[in-house]
Amino acid sequence: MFVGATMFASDRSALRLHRYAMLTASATFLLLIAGGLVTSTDSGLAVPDWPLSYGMLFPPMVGGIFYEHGHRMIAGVVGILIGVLAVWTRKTEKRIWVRRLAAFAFAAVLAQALLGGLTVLLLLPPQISIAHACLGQTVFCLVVGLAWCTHPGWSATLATARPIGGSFFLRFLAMAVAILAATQLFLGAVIRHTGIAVVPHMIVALCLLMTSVICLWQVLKRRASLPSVPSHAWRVVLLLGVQLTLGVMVFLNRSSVGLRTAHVAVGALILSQAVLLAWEVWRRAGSPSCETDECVSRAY
Amino acid sequence: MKRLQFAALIGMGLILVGAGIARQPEAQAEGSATIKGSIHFSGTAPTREPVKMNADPVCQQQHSSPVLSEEAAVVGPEGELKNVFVHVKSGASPAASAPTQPVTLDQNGCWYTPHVFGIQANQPLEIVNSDATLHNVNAKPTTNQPFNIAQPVKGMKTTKKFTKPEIMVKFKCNVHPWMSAYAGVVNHPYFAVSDEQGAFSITGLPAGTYELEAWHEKFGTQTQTLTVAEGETKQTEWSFRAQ
Ligand SMILES: [Cu+2]
Repeated sequence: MFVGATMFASDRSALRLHRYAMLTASATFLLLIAGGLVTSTDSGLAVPDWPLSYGMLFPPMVGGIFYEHGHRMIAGVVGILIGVLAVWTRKTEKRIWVRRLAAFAFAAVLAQALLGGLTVLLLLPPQISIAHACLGQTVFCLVVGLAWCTHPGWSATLATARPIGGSFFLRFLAMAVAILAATQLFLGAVIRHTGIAVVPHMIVALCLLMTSVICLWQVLKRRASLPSVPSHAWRVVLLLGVQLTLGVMVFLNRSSVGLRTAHVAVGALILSQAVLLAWEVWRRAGSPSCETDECVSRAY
Repeated sequence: MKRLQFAALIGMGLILVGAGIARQPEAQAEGSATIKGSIHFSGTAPTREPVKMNADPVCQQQHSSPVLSEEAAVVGPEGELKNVFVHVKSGASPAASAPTQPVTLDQNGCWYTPHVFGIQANQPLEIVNSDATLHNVNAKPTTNQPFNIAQPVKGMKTTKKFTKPEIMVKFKCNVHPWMSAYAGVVNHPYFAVSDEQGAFSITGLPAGTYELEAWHEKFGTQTQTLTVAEGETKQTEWSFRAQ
């Protein structure tokens, strides 16, 4: 009775952490959109100084300052949210790798803030702006991953994992989808900041689509042993459909701020879903079933 | 005591005048030939769109009627083309020293005045904010040192210099994305910008053969080679078309 009550309480606390991680992930997604808007509106240099804006904490939000300073303010909030997430995880999470992941996410968001400041002070050198774009996507994936693995039922899914046939090929496919999605975000950032690499971006888009469709097909073939994995694969493929349409529209209408920013945002969703897909396939396909508490706390 | 102060004042005055006289020759041209020009645009002139300034109320309040974009091209009724930067591209020897008199780039009504201008290498450029709003001045040269400065307060002045010749240096305000200006940086005083009548005049040239280049932000560049004698005035005709 007493033990049951304690477990109930710890479940509730785990659920609160999970919900908070979801909130942080949503805020990080908004931050990515705000960052995309800065590039799409060419407002990156509307505020020449950093960390203050025109020597102030709150400059008038006119013209391009609205985008650049708005991005900074949302970034400040997200930085605090991720900091709290790291502390909270450290205090309540039993799995050491989750605590480390949260600490890493916080370190990454701090590095991201420095890169953001540096790119403004150095007048947007493409290398630093591209690094800022890629690290932003990485931070988003880390927070989404934290929201994912802090789900109270997350560890339990491992207890049902069973070795399945063709797992090597499936793991390879899922990993390829994630790597291709990351490559696309990198190439997209190169295009946004230099205007080159449009053709490689298109070629990799087709490779990514093909690999994702094959991956979906393979996952569906084994859906009995991989419950809930098909939904990730479906999301990747459907989002890719949206993203290809957006990509063509951006290509035809390069000055549209809304389209360009939507293309960045959907790209971030694809990468995060691709990472979750690869992660789920990796941990479920071929891993021996994990029933002891110690095994579960170590497994990821 | 009074006399001593008076003498000191006179002395200081003389030093100032002397410095002024000593400084003057550096800005002066060496010859007496003049090249005049008349620049036209042939074809259908691009329409100048009214600029939407609603992103900053301070900008909008300063204009009772919408301002027309200068970026597309300012073409007169007979095709007269404004904002063409004309300079001697080759044939002129570099000036011994740059003028100390600054060129002013004013931000007034959330608009750069002038939109196109010439300046000599190492000549001071005074950038002024005459608006009660914030501007960033983002200069994007490729040969010279780029900069991005903050001018949040009305009346602010910043002096900058470009040390090397460069055709052209673009200026942009990222707060008000419609604001842009271009500077032609040359190492001699032989340059001009066409006015509303599409006319320009380059004076004080020594006798010689010169290659002239005319630059327009939308219609590209053109060159002409001509020879002038001392005291001579030559008229040139230029015609741009849409690219
Ligand atoms: Cu401005």
